[in-house]
Amino acid sequence: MFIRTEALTHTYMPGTPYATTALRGVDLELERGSCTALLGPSGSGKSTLLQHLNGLLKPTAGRLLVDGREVGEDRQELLQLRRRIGLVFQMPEQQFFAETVFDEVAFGPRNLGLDHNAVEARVKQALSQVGLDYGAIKDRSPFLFSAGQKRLIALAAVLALRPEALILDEPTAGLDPSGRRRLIELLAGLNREKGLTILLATHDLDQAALLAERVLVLNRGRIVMDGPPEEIFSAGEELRRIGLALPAITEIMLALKQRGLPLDGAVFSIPEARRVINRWRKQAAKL
Amino acid sequence: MKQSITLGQYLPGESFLHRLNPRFKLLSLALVLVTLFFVKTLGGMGLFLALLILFSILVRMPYSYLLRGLKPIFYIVIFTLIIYLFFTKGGAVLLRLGPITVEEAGVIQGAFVVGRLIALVLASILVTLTTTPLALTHGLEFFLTPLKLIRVPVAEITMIMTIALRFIPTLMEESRRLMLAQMARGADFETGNLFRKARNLTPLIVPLFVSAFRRADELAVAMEARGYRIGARRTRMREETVSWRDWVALAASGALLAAVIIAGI
Repeated sequence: MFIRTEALTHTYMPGTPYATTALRGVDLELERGSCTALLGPSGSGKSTLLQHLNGLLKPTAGRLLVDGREVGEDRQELLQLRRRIGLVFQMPEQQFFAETVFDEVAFGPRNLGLDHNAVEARVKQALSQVGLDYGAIKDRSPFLFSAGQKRLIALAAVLALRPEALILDEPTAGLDPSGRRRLIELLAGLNREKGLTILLATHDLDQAALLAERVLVLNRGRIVMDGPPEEIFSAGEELRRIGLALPAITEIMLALKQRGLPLDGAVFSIPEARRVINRWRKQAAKL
Repeated sequence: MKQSITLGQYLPGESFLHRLNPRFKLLSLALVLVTLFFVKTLGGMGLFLALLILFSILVRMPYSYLLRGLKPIFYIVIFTLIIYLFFTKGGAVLLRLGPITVEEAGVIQGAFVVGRLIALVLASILVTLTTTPLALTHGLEFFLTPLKLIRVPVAEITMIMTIALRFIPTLMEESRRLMLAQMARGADFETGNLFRKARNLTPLIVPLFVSAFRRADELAVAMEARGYRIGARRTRMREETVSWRDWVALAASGALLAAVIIAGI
C-alpha cells in the first residue's frame, strides 16, 4: 500500500474552548497509480485530511504510513515526504510571491538544493507538463495571468518537485468551465500517462465523476462511503442528506428511473445518458 | 507551530462579568484600579487581593486562565521582589549574608508592590477574559467621545480598530495556510541563522500583503456600496443595553473606592 492512514484523528486547538475535532478516526488506503476523489460538504474535514497525507499536520491520534513506513517526527524524513507527495492547496495562485514565473516554479526545486541546470530542467519540464510555453512566459510576472493560467503555473510549481503523488484541494474552484475542463484533462493525463497517484478533494460531483475511479465521501470527519463512482452516485438520497448535490445529469436520470426508465446504477455523463435513453427508446419502439 | 488563532484572551461564557455592558465594565475596572492606588498598607493590599480572588471564584473564572494571564508578569514580579528585598532598608535585620542584608522594610515594601502588580493584572484579566475585543472597542469609543469636541475622528478611529481586530484572526489563519502551502513546496522556516530566516520569510510575506491589499480593496468597495461615509452618524446592529447588573457593578466599585479611602487602609 502506498499511502495509508490508521484511525487518523485531528483536533484543532485542543484543550481550549475553541477545540474542534476535524477528523475522527479516518482509515484510508491509496494505491500507487490510483485516481481517487474525496467528496464532502464544506467543513467535513477534507482539507485537514489532505494536509496530513504529506505530513504537514501531525495527527492528534492515529498514524500515517507511506510505503509501509510510519511517518514520524524526523525532520529530514518529513521534508522528503513533502517532496514525494505533492500537495496543491486551495487557490494555489494565492501563494505566488516571485517576480517571474521561472522563480515561482523554481522555488520548490531550489528548496531541494539542486544546481541551476537541474532547476532549469525541472521548471521547463513542469511548465510543459501543464501545457504552458516555457520560453514565452518564464520572465513574466506570475501575478499577471488569467485565473486558469495562474492555476496551471501553481500546479507546475508543485510538479517541479517531481512528486509520486499529487494531492489537490478543490483544484477547479473559481475557474470557468473551459479552465475546469482543461485542468481535469490535464490531471487525467498525468494519472494515465505518468502513473501519478492522484487524490483530489472537491464538492463538485460532476468533476469527480469524470476523473476518479474511486470515490470517498467524508462527512463530519468520518469516511462514510467508499466505492466506484457508479456505486456512490446511485446512493442519491444519502448524498443529498449529507449536503452534496449529485451531478445534474445523474439527478435527471435518477428521476427518469423513478418514472420507469430501466436503469441500473447511475449515469453521470451526457453521452452515457444519451445511450441509455436511445436504447430504451429502441426497445419501446419494438414493443 | 502555534495552533491558537484566538485573539486576546476572550473566553466565551455567560457569567455575570460576560453580561456586563462594556462601558460599565470599563468604568468599573477604572474605579477598581484607582482604588488599588489608594490602598496604603500591606494588610489592605492582602484584603484587596483576597476580594479579587473571591470575586473571580464567584463569577466562575477558570483559575487556569487567570494563571496563564499572570504568566507574562512572572519575571517582573521576581525582579521587583529581589530589588526591594535587597535595596530597601529599615527596620529589623532579618537575614545577613556577609555585607548583604535583608531588612523588614524591604520585605513589607516588596510584598506590597508585588501584591499591587498582581492585583492590577488580575483585575484587567477579568475584563479581557470576559469581553470580546469588539465590545472593548465599543466601550472605548464611548469614553473617547469627548475628544470629538477637539475634532478627533473618534468614530473613524474605532472603525479602524474594529476592522483591524476583525481581520487579525483572518490574517493569522491565512498566514498559517500560506506557511503550510510553502512548506509543501519544500520551504523551510525553522533552520538557518537570523538573516537566512528573515530572507526565507519572503514567500510568506509577499502573498500575505497581496491578499491583505486585495481584502482591503474589497472591503472598501463593500462598505461604500452599503453607504458608509466618513463622518456620518452611525447606528449599531446590536444596541448595548444597560441592566441592573451594570449599576450593581458600578455601585460596588464605587463603594469599594469610598470604603478604602475612608478606612485609610
